[in-house]
Amino acid sequence: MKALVRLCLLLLGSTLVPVGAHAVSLSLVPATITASGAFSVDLVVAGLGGSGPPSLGAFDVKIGFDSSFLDFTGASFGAVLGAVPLEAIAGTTTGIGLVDVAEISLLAPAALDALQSADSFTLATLSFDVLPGPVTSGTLGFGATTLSDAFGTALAVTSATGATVSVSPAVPEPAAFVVFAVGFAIASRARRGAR
Amino acid sequence: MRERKRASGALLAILLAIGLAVGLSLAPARPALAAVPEVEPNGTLATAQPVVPAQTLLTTAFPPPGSGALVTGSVAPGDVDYFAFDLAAGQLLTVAVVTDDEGALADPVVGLFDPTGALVATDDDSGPGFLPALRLVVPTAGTWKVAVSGFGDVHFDGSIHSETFSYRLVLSAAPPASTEPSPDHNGSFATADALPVGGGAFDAVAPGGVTVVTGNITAGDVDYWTVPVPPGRTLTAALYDADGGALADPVLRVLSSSDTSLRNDDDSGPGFLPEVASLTAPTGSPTLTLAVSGFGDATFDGSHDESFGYQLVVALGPSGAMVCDVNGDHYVDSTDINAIFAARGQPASGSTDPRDADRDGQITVLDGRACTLQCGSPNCAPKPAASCGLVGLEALAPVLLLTWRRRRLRAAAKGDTR
Repeated sequence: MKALVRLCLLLLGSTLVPVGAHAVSLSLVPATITASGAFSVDLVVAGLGGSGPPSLGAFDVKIGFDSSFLDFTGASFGAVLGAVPLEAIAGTTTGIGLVDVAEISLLAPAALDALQSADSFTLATLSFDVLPGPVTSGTLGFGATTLSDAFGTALAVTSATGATVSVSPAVPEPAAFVVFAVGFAIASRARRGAR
Repeated sequence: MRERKRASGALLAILLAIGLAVGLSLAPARPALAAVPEVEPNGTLATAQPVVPAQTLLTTAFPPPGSGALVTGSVAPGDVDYFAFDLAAGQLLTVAVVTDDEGALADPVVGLFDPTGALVATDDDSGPGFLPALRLVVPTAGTWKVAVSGFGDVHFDGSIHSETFSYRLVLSAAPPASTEPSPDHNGSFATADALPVGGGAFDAVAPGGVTVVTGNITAGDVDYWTVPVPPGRTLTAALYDADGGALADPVLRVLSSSDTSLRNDDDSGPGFLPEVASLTAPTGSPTLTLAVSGFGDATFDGSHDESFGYQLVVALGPSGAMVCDVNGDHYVDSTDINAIFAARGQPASGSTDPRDADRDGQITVLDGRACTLQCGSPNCAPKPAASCGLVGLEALAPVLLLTWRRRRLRAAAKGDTR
């Protein structure tokens, strides 16, 4: 009976996943960031299956963040959609607590297939600054995303994983340690002398 | 004299061919008109072959846009071909005959017969080379007939000519023209007259609508006309005068509704006549304004000394022209993709927005990527600059030819007046 149920579940599951469909995911790497100033995070896509179609032809990804904690400072784009600007058009637009990262490849589909030989690759590297203030942690999360294959057809994103950012614990300055140690040594010697 | 004319014509044809080759390499593809083959016997008025000019001409190469027909046929010594078609009073009729050698050697003639059968107009060489062309406003409604024959056949009975050629006969009938309001008060962008588009003559929805207006330009005068054009639709405008551009030299400018110049033209039409073909109305400009002036008036403020009467023919083309061709230059390249990229996230301006390739009402990177597949060059490289592949100077040949022809015609005109 259990075997029959498993078979039914297996058949049901197989009908839910289209043949040839890819589980395309987006993520920010690393997922956990500890920083006290500038840091970078990679926008990574995975699940396209490596060489051959589908290839990524364009993307438009919005990433939200706490603007009282973080400041977006810039982005650089990977070469998997072609070299900017002759082979791809890329850019960012920013709003309060939001950065829109987008790129359109100008390459032919076959060229994209050849460039995207890995199953996972970096689309862009985003740079932020941690702002001084009372906020000590926050997240980088995905907003609306559009991924296009090489022919202008939308690719479904099955998961999008953001990142958490926290401020590094404060490290005492060396000078304070030295003063403290010297003071402690003087006090110890004075006490020994008194004895 | 005839041989001299032929030699001169051959030289002109060579120069025209060079210019034509350069022009064709740069010209956007234009919709072709399905040809109607000639059916013999059609050698008399009584046996004229009926032609229904029901198809819409979207080309302005020759003749003006409007309802038209294209007939293919051939003439041998002793042969003449007649064609019949119905016209309404006031329509602007254009008749043109084109041969494969562009009139270099073949020498057709055309005759136009009114509904009573009277020969009302003939032409020998008003077109390129030895090719004939006729333009006139039809005075009476009825069945008009055109005869195509060879040089020398003044009676259009085929008896006196020895020409042999194959030809394409182009017939075009534009709607009856309206007249420029009097007194003339449309001398600036702000005071532009509205082109008459009512009465079904200018269909703002279906492609192919045509409107015609007649006007007059005197020294220092400019006429501004405004016309509604839905976003994405294409506008074609051509100017005609009584002598087919042989003497008068009008210029034409198209402006957006914000008074931004979109296109200037001087001599793209026959002779010195201007025309603007397939201009896509930019988004955010529900109307276009056309300015008619004389040669030399670069700012369209009346700085010229030309004087002529004209017919301005304006046609509305199909929507969108080319999807993805954002700047309307009939070539998809990185300029267009950049424009789509910059507009991502915005709603499309309408169902014909060239930026909305997938027609989902939103401009996204999906549209941008889809449009890269329509680019005319690898990696969507910008549209190649004009190049003729030789030394480049031959591109000046048509200009020199037209200048020489203009001087000759003006000299002849002065001689006539004296």
